[in-house]
Amino acid sequence: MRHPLQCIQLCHQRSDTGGSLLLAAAGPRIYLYNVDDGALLCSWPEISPSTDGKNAEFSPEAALEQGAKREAPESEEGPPGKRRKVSSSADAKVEDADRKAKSPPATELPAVSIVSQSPDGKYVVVVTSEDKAIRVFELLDGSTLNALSTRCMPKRPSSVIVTSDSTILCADKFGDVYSLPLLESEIKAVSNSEAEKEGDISESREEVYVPAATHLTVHTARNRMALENQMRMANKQVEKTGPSFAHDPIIGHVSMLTDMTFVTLEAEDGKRRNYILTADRDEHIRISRAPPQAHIIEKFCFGHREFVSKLCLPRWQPTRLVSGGGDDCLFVWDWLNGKLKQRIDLRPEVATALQSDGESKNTKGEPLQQKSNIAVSGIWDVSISNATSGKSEEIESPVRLILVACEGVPVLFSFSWIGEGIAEPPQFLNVEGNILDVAVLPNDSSIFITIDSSHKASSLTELREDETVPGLKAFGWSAQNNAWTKTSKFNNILETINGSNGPGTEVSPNPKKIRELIYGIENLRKRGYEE
Amino acid sequence: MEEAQHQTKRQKREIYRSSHKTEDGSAELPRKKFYRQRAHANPFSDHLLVYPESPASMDWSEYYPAFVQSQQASAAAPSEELSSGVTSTTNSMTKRVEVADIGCGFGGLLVALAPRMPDTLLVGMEIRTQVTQFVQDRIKALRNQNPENGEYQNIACLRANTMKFLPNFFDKSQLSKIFLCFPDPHFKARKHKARIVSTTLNSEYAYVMRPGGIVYTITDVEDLHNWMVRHFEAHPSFERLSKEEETADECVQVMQDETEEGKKVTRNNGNKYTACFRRLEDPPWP
Repeated sequence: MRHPLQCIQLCHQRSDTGGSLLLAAAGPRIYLYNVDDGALLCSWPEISPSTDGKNAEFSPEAALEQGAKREAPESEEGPPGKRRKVSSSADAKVEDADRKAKSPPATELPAVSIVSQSPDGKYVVVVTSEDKAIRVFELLDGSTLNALSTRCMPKRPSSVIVTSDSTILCADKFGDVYSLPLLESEIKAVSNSEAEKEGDISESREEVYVPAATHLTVHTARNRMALENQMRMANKQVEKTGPSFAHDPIIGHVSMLTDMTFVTLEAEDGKRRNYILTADRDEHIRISRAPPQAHIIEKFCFGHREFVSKLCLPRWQPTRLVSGGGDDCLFVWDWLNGKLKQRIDLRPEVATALQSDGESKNTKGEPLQQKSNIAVSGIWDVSISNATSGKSEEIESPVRLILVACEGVPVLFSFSWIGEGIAEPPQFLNVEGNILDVAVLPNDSSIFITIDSSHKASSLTELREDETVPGLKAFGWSAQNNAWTKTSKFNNILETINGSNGPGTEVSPNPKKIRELIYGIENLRKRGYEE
Repeated sequence: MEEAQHQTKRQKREIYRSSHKTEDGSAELPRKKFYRQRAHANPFSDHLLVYPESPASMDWSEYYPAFVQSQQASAAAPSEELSSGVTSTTNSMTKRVEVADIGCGFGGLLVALAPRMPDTLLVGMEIRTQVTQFVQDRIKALRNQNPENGEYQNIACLRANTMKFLPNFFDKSQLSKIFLCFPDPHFKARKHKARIVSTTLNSEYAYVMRPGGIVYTITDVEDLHNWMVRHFEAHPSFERLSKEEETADECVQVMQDETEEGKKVTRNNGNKYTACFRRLEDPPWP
């Protein structure tokens, strides 16, 4: 079994020859491809030619040695908190069959969970999940990824954005948004004293432990005993301290953050205003000002009844917001005013999608009833200029689409955007597996889709028997048919990536780990039990 | 053995509660011992909370029946407060809630403030179900004791996790006062995010408060007091009140003397640390 491609992203920067660059992540690795000729330009961590499964050379620390000497120890001691067990002893039941193929998990690498980049495309930011690390790469000569830094966050990041002023905004699963400098030189600039001051507000780091309670604050016999115990233990306890690099908390929800976007709008006075939109598991979409005024909450968008998982601001109308999550609906907002404009029911579409998939392939997918929940896993905006169709003289307005993927659904829904909102019904783009990620080629009316090649279509648990399903697909927009159609334009890269030496083949994946990595959305749903 | 004792305690509680409930017009104050619950609740867990989808969908009428707008009046002239951006689908109220006692406990502060602010709606918010029930029964009894003068009609209590859902209850700039009295100290550093005050959470208090509004804090734990002061002072939307302003504020005295915890601390000769913070105007966009 090969590891599916959980993330793909087209680089804003182009290669030396002017071609587009595609970043793809499979398990713990990222790969950089030239879209035109399909050549693999670079991969990380570097695959040493001598490796044969014993993967000592795979160590990301080794790859980072130059760039992050200062940070390397940090990543090792890291926050011990809730580190996932990487050894598979607990999962024995699940992948007995798989066990044989598996190499010893001696130094299993953390899986890539997010791939992002700076607006100018010069830097690529990758989040690896188990070590909660934000890793910054420089894209050199349009062909090489040069690792610059690794910073282990206190909690697992769920969304990472690089703003145009070289700041990383990181939203995490504990509900906080941190602002970090993108580059190492700026990281180093943080003096110890400043870090101390920082620690002062975020975490108490007293050298000598003094219990905060006193004999005046505890009233029961048992509490008094506990306090005496604490006093006795004093100084032996060492409180955990936060990371030493600069990371300013700027926004905080008391909930798990699921997605975040950053947008600049021009106000009536002609000035530019930056906003941060954050979404959480408790149905909230919060509109805050961006730093330096991130402490000001402008609005909330109320209406979701289940968790929110994805936010998308259509680039042609960024005052609108499309959001989705555990509800049956997609929501369209006038977010500046906190007003709900549209609710698009996804339930019939998902039902149809699953039905048609079951019929056409006759697979024994999950029965429809079990799919009673919808979990939106991706929303993308696509704007296709129709200039190329050129049959008539008149300038046609661009085709605007909102693409929506739901967890465990092998269909990409392609909604037209007409006027100020979404038009129904969507077109169905059927693929052979559950959709994992979509990358839109800029101005190119084409998209790449990665699908789950390890699990059966429509199922989050059943593994495939045949493993020949290609993980990457490409589609082009056909102006004549007004629909997505298969395109041969990208055969080179499809061959490289889907070929037998493509990404995901060096990794010998653990099915449970794959599931955790690619199917985390439905797990956000509240189960309704008392504590 | 312990199990059996626990059972009987619970049974007693249920018998007491159901008998208390049947006498609807009862003016007898509830007894605390039938509403005991452990002092801590995890603010991060989901619980089985009921909360409005948005402030506009919150129905306050069952909490403040004396302030429900009569049908004709609401049709003729929608109240000024409500027209400010909110289109309410629920029963219209003649007033909006302006004061929130977050973590109101057994309701001592609410009851003490009710006659002092007769024209203001105050709400106590408490995460523990039993305790919420106690305060609700207490308010019911107090209202029944004072049917003529309409006292205690302006206070109510509901169960909520305000750390997660405060903005679901209140619109931007709706509140003029927030009380944070003797909050759970969460001594361990690992638990500090569970504290009711943090710089990031203060943004939510700032959101629901109008400029000029005041947050009142009191605790007997010096470390927590310093923490709250530090985090509010670090937040650009708040400034601390001077000692003179504090002593001039009637609410401060009430908070020190009338809350259950305040009384307990007095009995134990403990210290009480107070600090109040004013909500400042938002600065213009940069």
